[in-house]
Amino acid sequence: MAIDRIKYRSWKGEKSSHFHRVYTIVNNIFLQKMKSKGILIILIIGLFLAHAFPIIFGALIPHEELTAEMMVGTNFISYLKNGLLIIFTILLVSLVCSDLISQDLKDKSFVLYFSRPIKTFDYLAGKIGGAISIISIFTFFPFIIYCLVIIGTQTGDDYSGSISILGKTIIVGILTTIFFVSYGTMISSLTKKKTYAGIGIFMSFFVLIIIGDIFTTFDQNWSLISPINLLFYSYDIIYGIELSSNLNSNIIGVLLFCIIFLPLVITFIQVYKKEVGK
Amino acid sequence: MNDIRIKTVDLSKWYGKIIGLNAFKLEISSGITGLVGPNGSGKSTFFKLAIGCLKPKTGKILILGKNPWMNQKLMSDIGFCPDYDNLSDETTGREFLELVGGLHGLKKISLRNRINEVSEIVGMKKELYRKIGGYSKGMRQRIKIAGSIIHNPKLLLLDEPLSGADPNVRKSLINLIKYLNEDLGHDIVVSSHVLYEIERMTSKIALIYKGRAIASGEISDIRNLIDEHPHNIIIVGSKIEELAKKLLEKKYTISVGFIDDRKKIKVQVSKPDEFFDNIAELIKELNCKIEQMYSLDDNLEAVFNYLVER
Repeated sequence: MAIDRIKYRSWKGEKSSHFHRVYTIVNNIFLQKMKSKGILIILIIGLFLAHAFPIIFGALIPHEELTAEMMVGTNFISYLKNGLLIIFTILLVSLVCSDLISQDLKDKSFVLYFSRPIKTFDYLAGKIGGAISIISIFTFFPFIIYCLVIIGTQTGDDYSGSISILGKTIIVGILTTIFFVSYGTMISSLTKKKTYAGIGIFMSFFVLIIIGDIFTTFDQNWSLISPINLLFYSYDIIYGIELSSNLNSNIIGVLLFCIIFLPLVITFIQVYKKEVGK
Repeated sequence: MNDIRIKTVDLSKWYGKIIGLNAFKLEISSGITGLVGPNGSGKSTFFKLAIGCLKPKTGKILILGKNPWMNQKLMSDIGFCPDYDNLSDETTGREFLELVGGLHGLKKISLRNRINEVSEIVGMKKELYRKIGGYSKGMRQRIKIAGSIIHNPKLLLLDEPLSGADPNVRKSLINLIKYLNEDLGHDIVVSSHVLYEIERMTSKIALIYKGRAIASGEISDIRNLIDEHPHNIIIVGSKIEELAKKLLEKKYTISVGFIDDRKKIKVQVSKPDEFFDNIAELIKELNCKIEQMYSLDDNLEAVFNYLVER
């Protein structure tokens, strides 16, 4: 091994490198997931069925401007409340998030991260950021493309109204992505088996939809127990569509806050208590 | 006292009713230090405490003069190679090193250059673009070691780096560890449950048993105790009948016995150092295919018992 003594000196912990360390985890997860055939297949089929068709039809059907109804209305051209979109999103989240934390729990690869200058928060930020980078390909960018295509092919002159809808769609895209990733990451942190996590994510959404539907006959607020209904109602609020008088918007706000932030807190506690702070 | 790298004072860690470390008292100075103890003696717990992944119940541990608990900045000065394999089979060696280098804040050209340097140091430059799933045990250990030195740490902690490796890989890993210290200047703490492996790297050892540091100092003193006891080694592989015959001709061999339908042999030797010096050549000469070779703890256990009872 005739090589010169290494000239390199160790990194001294400059703050400018902090984001790079988180970015490294994000980038690693993105590259790993994009190698997965299952994820690529779901992405391609899903983009084609749930996004390409609405975008093409939206462009071909004569329209004056981009309206909230086109995004979340109940007519046939409603884009965001499309069942296919939700099914493919859940499938994608199940695949992307299933091994996000569970694999590290199983392999004890927390040590890989925490024996480096990485804090629990950085680790989670990197993991969640990595998942967001994939899921947003399906739940953020296509929404923007849809809006831009509709605006580009509109026959009317009211561009300000259309751009306002575009702005609201950006918020909806961010909300949808974080909503699913947060939930999926929490489920992944609860088990060491990625199969359990994947099935858990997929099934929990459907079980909650069924439970919500059963109890809705007694009180419509029970429909909020379904994360998908909760997400749809929050779309209505963002686009300024009037909710049913039987629904309590305060409960929607509280539940939405809980379903996004509680999973993040639970995930942090799981990682911190189980593997770091033992 | 400036060259003290690790200092523990009455360090204790237990998991429920199970004791990991118990009033552990040890000082480790620069150079290579071997941490020797049977399986379950607390070596891995000690390393996890040293990298701040566990919090001591009582007592304190100082690494390079600092408390490692929740001290992520200190991790820039420590390189850790765990005993278990947490490498993803689907990633290539290069991707693994890019990840760990990035976690240390290395990027772009400096990261690329450093990956080239460390892969050359551990002899893995040609294998970098292969998937880790196709690596041999020795290659996996080498890439793990490369990951632990990528940020050029002052202190390197290697937890059982030789476990499960065949004799040739053991020999080359031992040479690598010595090279990391002698030529590249890393201070190293290396653990093993086999004293003779440690002996080939360093003369400084600490013996750990049932969560306590029971002795530390020069290996020669410990060896004198060990040599009074026969040493048992298990060899697993094919064509080992020939190897067994050859071993019986050696003066240092007390007995050779077959176990598990002649797939394994248990060799009892009086002079383990001579055995370990010759075994690689014998295997090469007889063209045997050795899957595993490991020492049983019997004799070390006897020394530990002796030391504890003393």
